[in-house]
Amino acid sequence: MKAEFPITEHGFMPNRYNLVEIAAYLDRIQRHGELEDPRNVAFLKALNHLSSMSTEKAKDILDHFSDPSTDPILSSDNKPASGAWSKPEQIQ
Amino acid sequence: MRYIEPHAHMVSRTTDDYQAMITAGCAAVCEPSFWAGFDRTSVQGFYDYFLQLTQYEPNRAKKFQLPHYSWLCINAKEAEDIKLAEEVISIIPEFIEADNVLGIGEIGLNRNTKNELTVFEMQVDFACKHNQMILIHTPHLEDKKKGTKLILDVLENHSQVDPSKVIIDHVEEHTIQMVKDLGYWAGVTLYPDSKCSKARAVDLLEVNGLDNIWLNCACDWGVSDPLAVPKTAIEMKHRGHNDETIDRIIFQNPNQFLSQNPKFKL
Repeated sequence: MKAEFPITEHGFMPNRYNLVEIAAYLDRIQRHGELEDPRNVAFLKALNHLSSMSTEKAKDILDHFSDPSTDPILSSDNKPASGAWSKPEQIQ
Repeated sequence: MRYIEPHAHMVSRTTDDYQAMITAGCAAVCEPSFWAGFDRTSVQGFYDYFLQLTQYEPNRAKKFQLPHYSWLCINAKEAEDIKLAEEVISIIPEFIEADNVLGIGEIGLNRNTKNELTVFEMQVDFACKHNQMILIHTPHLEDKKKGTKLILDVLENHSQVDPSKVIIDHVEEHTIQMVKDLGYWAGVTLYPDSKCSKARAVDLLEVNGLDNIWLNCACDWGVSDPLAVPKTAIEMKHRGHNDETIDRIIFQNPNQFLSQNPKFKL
């Protein structure tokens, strides 16, 4: 199997765009004083995975955002998943 | 190009979507029962929904010569109310023999609560007792990994579950391997923001192999794309996958799984 074009040819520009979007998002939450939101705290920590030498960076980031507990919770608060697990006391 | 859309919530879609799907080569569409975007207040709401899935929607699809199949259950989001869940499960036998019903689904977990888990166990048991295939919804986002493990524990602890007749849907990079390692089918859902992109879906195929895996769009009332599967086929083509491999993923694999129910005919 050989890609029609090098993967970089197909992927660089949209992912350059995505990277600038992330940078702009970080600027924006900083400007609006939302860096302490637990989701953003987890987001900032997740960025460390991007520069690692792991060959499973997508999996590592998904693991990073995941609830590490193993038992079912007592009941639902009827809220949707937020995208980033936080220790209960951190949830706003 | 020919493809099967094994997971689409067509009751939430316009007729234009049916036209677009058949134009793109869709050979069959399958519709699991799901959360309608609001909680139904009684079993009667589910009764009407099951009528819609077994009578009205197949006829709507038939106008476009598109075979329509469905799966029945109470979804995880509304499974917090155990009494309601018991009532809904009690009416499923009335519909299970309908020509287009393929099995029980999409059952699973939403926020990984005790009640959701209880109702999931009840529906797995129901499916086994009625010799039905199972389609499983895994939770969203941060709840997915934990929920997938809880789901696998229930399945592995049930003596009558046949993994070859169970598809665990919405897998991502952190859950696909645990599903495939135990012999279950894996569904990759192409859905904006909360699930998988086209490029990541092809990565999953390249890394985890082509066996026992299907792609689906799970289009519903949210921002979603009923043509996500054929568009991912184009991504595969760009990556250098040949026509046979693409056909295997978007047509032959779902056909192989779904044909385990003799009602599924193309």
